[in-house]
Amino acid sequence: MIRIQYEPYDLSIEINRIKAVSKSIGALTIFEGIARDFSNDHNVDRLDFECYIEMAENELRKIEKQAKSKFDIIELSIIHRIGTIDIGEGIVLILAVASHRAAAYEASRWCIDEIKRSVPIWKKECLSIGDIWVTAHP
Amino acid sequence: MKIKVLFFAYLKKYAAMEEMCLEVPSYITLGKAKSILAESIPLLGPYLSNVKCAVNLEIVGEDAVLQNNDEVAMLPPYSGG
Repeated sequence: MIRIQYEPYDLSIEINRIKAVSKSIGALTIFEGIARDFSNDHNVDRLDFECYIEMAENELRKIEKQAKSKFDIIELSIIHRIGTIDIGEGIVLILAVASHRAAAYEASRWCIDEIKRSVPIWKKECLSIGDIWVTAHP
Repeated sequence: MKIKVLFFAYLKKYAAMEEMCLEVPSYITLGKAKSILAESIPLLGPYLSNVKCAVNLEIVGEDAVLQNNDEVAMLPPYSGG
């Protein structure tokens, strides 16, 4: 399942939703990207995310399909927020469930790397000295 | 023919708009359309060398041939996730 949304997600609801998919789940991994209060040497007040929504949804669906093909996982949820995100709030959530933990860990890591590489979303850091579009992602 | 050009992130500032309709010759390649775009918006020109382009939601190369009413998105390096 993939979603792009402005509003915050509820972690408990999303976890319960994916766990309900199968009784063969033995492992659930949670990756959450969170807005932090610094970047390089600057204090960050908040983040703004912009998105080419239709293409981003297509790319997330491709990532979901490829992850299910590459890794022995049962289900995958990817939620990416856009718009204004305050410090401490979640930006992106990846839930992977599998019978065994190795596949869930590997799928989760692969997904976040692929999201950063291939999904048309852009982050702007809002600092006290002005706003900066991030052009490279670690 | 006409193509719809979309701008994202910092490109919007230099283009001074989010999208535009650009008149280009028929059978033009993406690379040549970018040159026409750079000539029509000089402030934008220097930043177009560092963008990927999607035509109708798919990344294509500079030699892709455009069609009438294509949606061409100028995509700076991504920073999501």
